[in-house]
Amino acid sequence: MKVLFFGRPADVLGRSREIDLPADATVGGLRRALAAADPAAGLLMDPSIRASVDRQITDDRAGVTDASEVAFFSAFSGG
Amino acid sequence: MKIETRLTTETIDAAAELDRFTKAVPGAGAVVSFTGIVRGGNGVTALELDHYPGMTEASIESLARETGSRFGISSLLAVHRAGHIPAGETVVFVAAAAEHRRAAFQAADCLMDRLKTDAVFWKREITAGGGARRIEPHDKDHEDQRRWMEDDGGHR
Repeated sequence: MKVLFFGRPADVLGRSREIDLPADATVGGLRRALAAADPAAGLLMDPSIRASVDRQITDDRAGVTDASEVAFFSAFSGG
Repeated sequence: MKIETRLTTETIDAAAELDRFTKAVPGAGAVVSFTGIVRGGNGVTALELDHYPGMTEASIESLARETGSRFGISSLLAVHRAGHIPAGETVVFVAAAAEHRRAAFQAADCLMDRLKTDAVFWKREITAGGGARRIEPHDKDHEDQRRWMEDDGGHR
């Protein structure tokens, strides 16, 4: 599945990455799988990095499937 | 209540937006607008605002709706630019129309504070040497945003 990055995660990891759906098919499971696959993705374990599933902000317990659009991002900064 | 929000990668003409907005709010006694401009200086030549298509538009729309309802606004406009924005150009424009001035001032102020921390954008400062520095909300921005979480916005 494809995972998107914005803000600081994008600075470090690029805009997106392909990963197999982890056995723990949750947002938290994805964080851990990405961090385990690449030390640079360790920043995803920082609790300030939030996530969305299908463009809705969620917590780490949210379930994901191969068809989910998951994104990880740092704090918003508009205006 | 009329809410209009727009995300654009083109130049925002704040004067034209205000003119159009004001002409479309007959009956309102007050119009307050705010124009946010990319600050130059310290070698900053531009801002780069990244956005998440779909989610960013929805965030602006929902912040505008919440703000409009809260202050009893008759009409509210928010235009936000994304992409590469040179210093001196407009990054955001908001306008609020209401029967009386207080609500219009408060709505524009509140919407700006909330856009700073809750609109789905990620910002970098581009400097003359070609460098880029990631900008995240400061403590002050969070304080500004929290003012509106109290019952009266701390203003009445």
